[in-house]
Amino acid sequence: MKYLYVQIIGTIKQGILEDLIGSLNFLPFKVIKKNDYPLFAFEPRRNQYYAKKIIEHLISNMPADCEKLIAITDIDLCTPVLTFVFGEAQLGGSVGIVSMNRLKQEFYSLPANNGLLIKRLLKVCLHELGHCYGLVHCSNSKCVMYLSNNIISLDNKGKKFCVKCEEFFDKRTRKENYG
Amino acid sequence: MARNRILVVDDEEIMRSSLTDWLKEDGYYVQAVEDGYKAIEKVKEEEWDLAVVDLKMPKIDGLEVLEKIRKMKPEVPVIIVTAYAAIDTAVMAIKAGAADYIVKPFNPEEISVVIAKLLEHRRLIKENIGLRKELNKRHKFQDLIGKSPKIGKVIEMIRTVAPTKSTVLIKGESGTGKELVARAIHDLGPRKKCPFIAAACGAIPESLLEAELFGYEKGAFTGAVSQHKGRIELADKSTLFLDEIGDISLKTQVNLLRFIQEREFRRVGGKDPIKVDIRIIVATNKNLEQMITNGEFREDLYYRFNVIAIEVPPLRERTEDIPLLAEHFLEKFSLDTGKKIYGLSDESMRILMEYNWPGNIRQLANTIEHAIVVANELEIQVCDFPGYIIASKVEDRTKAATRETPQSLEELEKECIVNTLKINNWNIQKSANILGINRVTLYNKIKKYGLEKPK
Repeated sequence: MKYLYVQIIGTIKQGILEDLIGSLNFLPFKVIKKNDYPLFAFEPRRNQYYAKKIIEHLISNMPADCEKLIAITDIDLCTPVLTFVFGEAQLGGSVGIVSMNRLKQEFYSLPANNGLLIKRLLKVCLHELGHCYGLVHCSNSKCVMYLSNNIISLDNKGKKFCVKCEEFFDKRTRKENYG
Repeated sequence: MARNRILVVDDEEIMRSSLTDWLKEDGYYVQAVEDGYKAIEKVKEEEWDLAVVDLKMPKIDGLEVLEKIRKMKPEVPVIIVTAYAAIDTAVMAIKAGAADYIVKPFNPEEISVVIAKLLEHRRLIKENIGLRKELNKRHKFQDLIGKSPKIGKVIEMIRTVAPTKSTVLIKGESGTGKELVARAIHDLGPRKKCPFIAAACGAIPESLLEAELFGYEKGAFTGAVSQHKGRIELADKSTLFLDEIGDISLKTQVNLLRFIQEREFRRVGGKDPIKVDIRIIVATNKNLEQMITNGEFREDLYYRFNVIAIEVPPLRERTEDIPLLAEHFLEKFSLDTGKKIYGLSDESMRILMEYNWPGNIRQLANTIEHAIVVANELEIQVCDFPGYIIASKVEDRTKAATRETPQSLEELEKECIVNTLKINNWNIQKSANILGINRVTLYNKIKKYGLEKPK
């Protein structure tokens, strides 16, 4: 039996994780909690963490029964070429990572809004999982695979796959789960 | 739909892989290389829609790579990226032809927009080229290009006479495509599988023309070391095209007339008559009727040729065909020179449409070839045309101006200078050349008349 692993890096508010997992129900899941921050991935000049370094670390420590792994963290993520990312994943691979840092209203100096945070988190998680299953960005602005480079674009897109992406995703999950 | 192909060039592995991963998520086909030389090889050997090149690299830096790519494949946009922002390098990069200059790390929104915009522009260029080719095909009959009513009439006549054996007289100014019409008649007729034999009567010295047309036997004259078949004999069962028929001497006209009447001839120095079955097409840019009146052309020979007459219009009478012809030559000479030029600016097309074209299509072809060779951009500009094309425009405008209102010599001079500068985008050297003065004199006159380059 293969599982969707959800790994928490750092802290996450109670209730958010439960709501999130309830929506990612296409695979049985397991949750791992790790409070330690991945200092090996920290870039002091940018005060951010390199997403790819964390992903590489996660890959090398993947549990044997892991189908896919989504890491959720509250640290700010970036890549060497991009100023920030909401999330990052291996295209057609096993691991993705999502940062809540820029999904929180507080980042934009607005009052906290857990409901909005959960919606945003779900979209980014599904987006990165889509990449893990081989989906690339979609040109349909309502599809969850649409590329969102800012929070407004993220809020405007849908929380589901479009018909085409869903078909692709279903085929891939059936193939990977059942051979 | 084929994926866009992006080449990433960066000496740092972490940068290469990071950018490659991100671009792949966007659905692009991406290849990454670690140095400029490899990038140049890749661009030479494969088709790319975009290159993202790091500025600072060992061995060969990003600006050199940019210059090489621009020379080989100017249609490929190049984004220069750098972690070290500096205004002077940004200016250098843009002047060298970079499509954009971006500092690492990029804002994801900014880089997405830049890439999408450049790829869309590239897609439109490709689509434009494809549509123009399609349009050219539709308006191409054999090698004749055009959609004007006048060329339509010529094409209709070709279709009508091609299946027959009738002799055809093609009339038209020099450079209008008379030989193309003759070839089209041959290629659409029953003799198309045989070679089309042509003789440029005006180009062959009179003393050699008879031998060239009728052939000669060995020893017929000094230098005739072996038997030689003439054009008439070579055209047996096929088509003989005699160009510039108005240039042949009266003596040769007599021999030709005899041949046409009897359909047999003797080689120079030969005894035995040779019968041939040929279809004759002749062409001239001269007024044969006037030549008959002047005693320079035989009337009986004229009537033998003038069974079916096709008049090929001069280019100035079919200006609506100029854009199609210009596009055709653009494609042809771009291929020949290996230079990628994608079109003509609106202003340069307008100049072509308004020019008188005394040399007709041949002159247009030469003009486009000249422009492609000298062009520095992806589109032909007015300043790429030969000087006489631009000068005629300036002259027309100056003439128009002087006809309308009386002007002093100074006012005329000022107007001429302003027009020349405008047409040449204020290129001082080119404008000075056209005006026939040196740069310093032109600068002085600009100062004298208080002229300023528009912003």
